[in-house]
Amino acid sequence: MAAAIDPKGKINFTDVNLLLLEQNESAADLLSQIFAGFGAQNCIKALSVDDAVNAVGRKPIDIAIVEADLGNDDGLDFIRWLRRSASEPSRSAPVLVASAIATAPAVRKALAAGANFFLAKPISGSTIMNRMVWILKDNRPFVDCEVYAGPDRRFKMLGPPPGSDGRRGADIKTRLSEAAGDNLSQDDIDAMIKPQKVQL
Amino acid sequence: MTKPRIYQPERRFAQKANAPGGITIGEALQRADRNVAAGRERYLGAVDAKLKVAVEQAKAEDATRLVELRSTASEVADLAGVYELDELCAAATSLRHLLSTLIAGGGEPPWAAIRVHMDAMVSLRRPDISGNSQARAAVIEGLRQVVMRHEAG
Repeated sequence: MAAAIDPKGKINFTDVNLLLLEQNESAADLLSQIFAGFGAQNCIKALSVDDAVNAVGRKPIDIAIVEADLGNDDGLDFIRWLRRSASEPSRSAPVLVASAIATAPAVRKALAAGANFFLAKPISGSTIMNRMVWILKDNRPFVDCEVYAGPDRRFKMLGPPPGSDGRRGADIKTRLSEAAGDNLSQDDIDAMIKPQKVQL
Repeated sequence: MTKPRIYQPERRFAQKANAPGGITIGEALQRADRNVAAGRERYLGAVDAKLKVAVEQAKAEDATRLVELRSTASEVADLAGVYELDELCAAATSLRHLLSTLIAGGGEPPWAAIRVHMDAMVSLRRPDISGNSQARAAVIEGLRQVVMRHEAG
């Protein structure tokens, strides 16, 4: 995992309204058990995009975990709806996409739909917690334009480190291949998402 | 072209999660692990029940059930992954990929390959195989050969 989390740090999920969009009831239930362990008391399980849309209509959500592949539904359709059509505060709630298909194009597609983060399945309590902590630190602004609505995907360019002449060519990370069909590791996914210093 | 609207959203999740009270992250993880462990028999029992139904569906060679079969494969992969049943997760993931490709691209379902995946998953749940790492590896190797043959056409 990319970043270690401080086990002494505190979280308070008591009042968090959490939406889980997951096609399989057992998987949704297990996920809700993990969040119950985190202290979440308001966990809404939705098994389809329609269920999720109705749930958001009934009660605003603070965060959503969305399975990308829902069989007959596409979880990303829900994210697009949330970002375009839902009311605030649900509209700008963080969305974490969980999927077993974690290829570079799949990650890009999820981010283009307006997801904040991507989580490769199978998942565990610690991987979810790691993402939760990351989301808590994520203060990216939101962008709403014709072709995209969601967290700003233009990651902050910090420039070269102070006092240095800039990064060398060899320091730049290898481009991710479009053609590669293999799943990325969670670290690879994180590298696509987290802010990085780039040569200006 | 309209100008993009850029704004700082109300960060309700962060406000609530950072509110006074709550529990430590270490404690939260322990509780979550306890909940997951407590559900092991129940969730793996659900896997077995689903597999039973899926085996019959594969036997019936009903192409209208492919999405349902993929959903079962997906569920098995998710739950097996959480419980670190790596070989079962791998077999279910392989079936899910096979079915996803088929559903997206169309064509005649490769029922023999689908049934082999089902058999592999059922075998991996048998106590004599699930408790034997060599047997599990053999099942996965057999499955790999089948997938290679299927992909080779």
